[in-house]
Amino acid sequence: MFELVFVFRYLFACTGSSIKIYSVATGAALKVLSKTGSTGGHTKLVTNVALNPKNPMQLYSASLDGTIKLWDYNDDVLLKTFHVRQAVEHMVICPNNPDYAYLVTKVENNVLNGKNYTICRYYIGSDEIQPNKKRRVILRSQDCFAIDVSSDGKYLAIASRSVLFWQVTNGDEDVPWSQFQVWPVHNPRKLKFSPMKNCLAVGNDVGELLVCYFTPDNSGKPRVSSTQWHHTEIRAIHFMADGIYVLTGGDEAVLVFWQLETGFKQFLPRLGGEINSISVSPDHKYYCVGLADNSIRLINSITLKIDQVIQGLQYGNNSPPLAGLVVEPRNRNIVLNGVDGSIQFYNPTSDAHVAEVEVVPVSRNQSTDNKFVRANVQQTAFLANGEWMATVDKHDDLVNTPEQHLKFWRWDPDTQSYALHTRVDKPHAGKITSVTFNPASSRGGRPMAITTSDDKTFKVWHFTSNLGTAYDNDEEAWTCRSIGLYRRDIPEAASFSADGSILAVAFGSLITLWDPYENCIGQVLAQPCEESINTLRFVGDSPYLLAASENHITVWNMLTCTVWWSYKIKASHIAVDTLSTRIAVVCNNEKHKEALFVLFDAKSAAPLALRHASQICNALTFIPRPIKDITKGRSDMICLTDKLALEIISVVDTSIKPSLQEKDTINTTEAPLSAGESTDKRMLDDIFGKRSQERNEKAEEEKLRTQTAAKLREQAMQKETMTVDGRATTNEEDQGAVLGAPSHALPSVEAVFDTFMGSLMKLRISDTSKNKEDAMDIDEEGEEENDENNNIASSPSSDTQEHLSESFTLEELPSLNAYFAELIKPKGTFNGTTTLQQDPVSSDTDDSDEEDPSEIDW
Amino acid sequence: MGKQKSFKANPDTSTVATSATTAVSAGILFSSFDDSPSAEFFALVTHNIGRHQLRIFNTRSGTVSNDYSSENKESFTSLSWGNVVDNADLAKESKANKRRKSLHTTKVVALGTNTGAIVIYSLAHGSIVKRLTNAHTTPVADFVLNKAGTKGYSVAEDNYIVEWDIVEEKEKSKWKANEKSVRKLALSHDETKLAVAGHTISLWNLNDQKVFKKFTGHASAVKELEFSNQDDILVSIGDDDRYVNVWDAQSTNNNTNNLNSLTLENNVIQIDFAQSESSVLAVSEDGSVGVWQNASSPAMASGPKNRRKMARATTKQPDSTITVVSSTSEDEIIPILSARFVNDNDNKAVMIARGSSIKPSFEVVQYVNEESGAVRDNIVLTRQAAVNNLINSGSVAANNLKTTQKSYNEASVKVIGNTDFAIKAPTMEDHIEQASSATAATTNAEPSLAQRLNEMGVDDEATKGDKGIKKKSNKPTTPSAGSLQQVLLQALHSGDKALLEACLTQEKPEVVHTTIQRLPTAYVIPLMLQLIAKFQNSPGRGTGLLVWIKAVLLIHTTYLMTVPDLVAQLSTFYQALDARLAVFPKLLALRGRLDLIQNQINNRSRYSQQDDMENGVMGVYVEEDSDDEAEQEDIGMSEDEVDEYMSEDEEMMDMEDDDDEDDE
Repeated sequence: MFELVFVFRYLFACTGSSIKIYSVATGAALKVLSKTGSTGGHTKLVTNVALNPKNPMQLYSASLDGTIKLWDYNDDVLLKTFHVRQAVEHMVICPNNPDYAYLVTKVENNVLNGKNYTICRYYIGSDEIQPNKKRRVILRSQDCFAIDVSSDGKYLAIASRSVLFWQVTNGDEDVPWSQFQVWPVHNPRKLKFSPMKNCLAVGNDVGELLVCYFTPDNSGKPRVSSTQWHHTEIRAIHFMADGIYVLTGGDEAVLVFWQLETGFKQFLPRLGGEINSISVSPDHKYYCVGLADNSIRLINSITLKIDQVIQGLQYGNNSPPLAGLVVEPRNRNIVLNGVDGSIQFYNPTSDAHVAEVEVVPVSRNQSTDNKFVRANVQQTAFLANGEWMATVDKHDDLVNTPEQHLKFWRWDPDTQSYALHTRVDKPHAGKITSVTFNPASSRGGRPMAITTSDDKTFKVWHFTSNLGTAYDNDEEAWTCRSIGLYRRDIPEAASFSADGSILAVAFGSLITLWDPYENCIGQVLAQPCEESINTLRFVGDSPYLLAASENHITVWNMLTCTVWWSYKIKASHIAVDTLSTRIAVVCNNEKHKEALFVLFDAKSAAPLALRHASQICNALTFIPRPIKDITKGRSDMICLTDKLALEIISVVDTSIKPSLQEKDTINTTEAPLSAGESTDKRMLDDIFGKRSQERNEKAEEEKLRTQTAAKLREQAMQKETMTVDGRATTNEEDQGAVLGAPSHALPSVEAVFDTFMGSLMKLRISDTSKNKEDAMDIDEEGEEENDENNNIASSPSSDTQEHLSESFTLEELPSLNAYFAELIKPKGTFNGTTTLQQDPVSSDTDDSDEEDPSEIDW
Repeated sequence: MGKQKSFKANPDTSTVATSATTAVSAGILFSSFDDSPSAEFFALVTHNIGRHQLRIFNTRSGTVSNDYSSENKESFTSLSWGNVVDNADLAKESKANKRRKSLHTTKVVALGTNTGAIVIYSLAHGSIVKRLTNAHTTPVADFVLNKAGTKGYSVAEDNYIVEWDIVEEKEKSKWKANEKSVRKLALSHDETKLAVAGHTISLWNLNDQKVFKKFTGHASAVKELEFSNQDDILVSIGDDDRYVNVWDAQSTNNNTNNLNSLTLENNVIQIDFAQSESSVLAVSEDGSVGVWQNASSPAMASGPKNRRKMARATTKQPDSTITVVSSTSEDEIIPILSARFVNDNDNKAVMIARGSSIKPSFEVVQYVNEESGAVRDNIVLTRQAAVNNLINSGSVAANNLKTTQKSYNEASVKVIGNTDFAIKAPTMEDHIEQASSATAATTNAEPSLAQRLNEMGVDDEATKGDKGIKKKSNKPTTPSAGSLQQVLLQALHSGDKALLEACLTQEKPEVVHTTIQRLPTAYVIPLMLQLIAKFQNSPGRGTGLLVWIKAVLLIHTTYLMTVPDLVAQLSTFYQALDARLAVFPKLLALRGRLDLIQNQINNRSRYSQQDDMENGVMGVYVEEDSDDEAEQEDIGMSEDEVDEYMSEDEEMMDMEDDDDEDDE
């Protein structure tokens, strides 16, 4: 949503909650107004900007947060704020009567009559008047698409269901309906008054351009002439200053010049995207179009060639991007979904568009019903040294057979870009859920990648010249090396350890560890909870493995194959730093539009830092910092907010500085701009460093942080007791877990059968003394197990024991664990052994994998 | 020396004259990376028609971010990067109130001109934001800006050094340099020292404006100067000189001999000092880059010749050299135009600009090994030589769009299908390789029957043998023989494809069965491989070939079980089958649907016929009866069919359900 205003050689564009000033000559962003809400900026989308007709050095901006602000854009100073208290959707200011602004405001879900839109006149003059007289309601309506006031300020036109025309009258009372003329122009979408004549140009939803000529004295119907070129809705109309030419744009990516008198048309095609707004520079040197791919293009009016392109973040949906945020290792650019079928490389530090790579050839043609489904990029991954990129794209219009391609792109040093190398058609029968490269292959080995899919398999791909008879001998390509599956479960995520020797694949709630070169399974780890794992990542170059399911995050220690710590936390997004052992977790609160950032070190369960943000985070990743900074760690976090901005969050380790604060604080350098433009960091650092307000905020933040830390700790405690309770009472699930262990890890049926059946059968014998003996035996075993499982806190475990001895018949099932533990113990067949840590929050149900560490030779 | 000193260099021409080979051939007057740690921009001044042209490239995206041509025949004589406080007004009207405090600085390029003015060009504004005039009357030789963008120093051919107040655009102070024909300036990082260089280098203390050190030793005029980041070392290069001199720039001692000299094979045209460590790089005339890791502690590292007393003797070869060769011919070297240390990869990387001046390419080169951290001593990059230097008539923006928008290109793509997945047997990669090589050996190396016969010199017999084969191949076609075993053996043994094809055209189950049954086990795998290859190559022949494949699998199961690498051999076949079967349920569903529709249509037409008849002639009874019977039969049949399909495939049911829903 670009609204563009030209001043001299500069261009004002509202991007998200801020206003950017671009130089026409270079396309560089010179200034940003309304950077953050805390420094007086807008907190929601800016919908309109307009120069103050009285003083061209000032700028009005209207926003959905219900305010109109007046800026001195040269000095970057907020002069005045008008509180309208309703989301302002449109604003027009009449140049001849600059004390009043005409606003379209919107209330969500007006229950009374469904008339959500209010059109009103709002006093923005300098005189002090009573607040209740500031606003004069003109109309309440169900729809309002556009509003415009004629240049002499005498007429107002509203695009509702049909065009409503009002001869402006003075007064403070609400305007009666009788003063409106309803013109027979239906479904208008955009309208504009001619600057010279009594003439109104209206674009409607089917692409007709209707020109209404009216006479001031005649209150009757206007004379309407209709022409059509666009085949879908007209999205932008602009009158040239002479009133003779009109520019229109729509979905076709064609700028149409209309000579109204003669109906002569001229076209400027192939602009590169749907046109959302049109503006003309005051000296008529440039036509400026705002496109749907979030770019502004300046077209030289003489040569009709594109002179300048200003490109923002192309990703425009208010939902997490499919392919997430991925860091391109070579130049540390952020890679995310762009327009349909392509990915965009974006430099977050200098806030600049770098490149757009088309992954799927997509026809940009528009169908009239807009139901055409385009292919989308589902996954992107990079090899650690940046030599290879893998993408997964999918096209599924629910009618034809879904198409899915896995593509491998190689870095081409000549063009300094990625070039397509191998395309795999139908790599999996089902949807591909993840793509990961083996990091070890960046160091000379054969490149290897892995895909997991809904078709219950994961495939290992490698780059090889051994392609088979259909290919020449020296041809090299990526091909499938092996296919893995485990118990017909769906693999959701996979991760390689930093040295590439271990491959972890999450099947449901189980983590399977494989040797990627030998294709053999090494170990199966069962999560404490039954939820299926959706994120699995090795944490940096450490033995920790992070597994996240819907409501839990769990960190495993691969040296002992035990849970190191875990939290019950509903993580929306998780990012893992490749250079340190830090883990960042975001919990979005959809209701309150808030997000909570928690930063952990994999080594401990205590959060390092917390941060509240008043916006939803749609994606999160760590980006390596170009310059090492002792206080800020090696990486920054980057998150994509719901305002479509990339925000850089750097963690300041205050413990290194002798400062008052003891904990780490997260210091944000916010780039409050949507259309994804973050600002110059240094600039903001300077500002943040000097504002006392900021300091107060920090103090508050600190308070919040400690509170939340306490809360989190409480949560953790609760979780601990919960798991312990769960163990004590619902042991039936444990049995499932025992028998649910991989078949090769279980003792043979013959070995188990007698003991197992025996334990069941004995209970039927009503010899109490014998029963007691058994109970004692089993108690001992249970104790042993408890010794093993130190994670079961002492008090509940003693409870369990009492429980056992008192009413053994009800609690026979723990004995199964004990039996199996006993049976498995002497065998010691596993590569990894299981020692449980004395961690208060850890828990483990995968008893089958547990062995007494003392009995195993290391 | 005296003569040389009196020579008054015109920088405009002298630069061209001295940087003889690469830079000139590329038409470059000056070039420089910007001073930010990541070297985001590269400025290039070239001759354009009648004027000088400044172009600034974005190194990371390879696009042109600025393009500026000098006005009214002004030519540029120096180029330097810096930041100035951005107080440029956005609107013309407010020029009156100029003094404004602003926090931001913007990146600028300062250009000295031949008229003695210094223009400061802002990258963001795309225009000249400041013009420093009225101090020099002769061409400006060099200009430096301080970091804050408040002060600047310039020197011109009149040998006056001028200190500027950038904000006010005024001359602050002015003094005369000791040297004649001053060429270069360098400001230390703490901004207390200024190095002024002509043929000799003098270090000025800026606080009292006095010279505290003077370095002599360059035989020619100094071309470039650079302070180390701690300001304790100064490196310099001269015209037509292949030495980089390292000087002690500390003000605490009087050491004016050069500490060290770094040497390259060719004349040095540009140097750079790393930001965080004491590494130095130099670009030589032949277009290669040398990197020295430790420029200040020199002599020891340079090996056996440790003669510190003779300062000149302590030379040091580069620790690492970077060259770019063309991918078309090994001898052709693509010149590196300029290089700079960047902060990628822990500051162990160099950004190079290579290729032509019209469209240089930028690349970050890491000069240490990622794993070991050791310096790679000779880095040779193979790159495509830049061709097609025709100037594109399109605007800068259009060209930039072209470089940033990578459209989908499948020109060089390899397409891997489902059947190409050669799945390896688990844990037995080595065996497979051996096995496959073994089979390859048997198939390829073994001479065919004809060859053998030729070797034995029994041509006549060979022809007879051929006839015999023909006879045999004729034989099995007659059903009496009942087996193609001999022919098949011959075909497999000799690798005769035509003969094999002839065998495989046979589809009669009995013949296939007996043939396969009699086939010796040694030929089972070769036959299987042939069959699978044919099956994959031409899917249309599937039905015919499957008879054979099935027979092999059924009859020789026991043998196949004993083959160690069977999984590897059959995996592709399995894949191919799987891929094909994936379509099967869909086709079944389609067939079911079509049958359903067909039945509906039949019924409809029949009912309508019935209706017609009922409404029509009343009298004809007999025919209606017979029609009815026939119809009943038909319906019965079709219902049976439908049932059959239903039981065959659940998928179809689902699809039909879907259909119904859709209809609703």
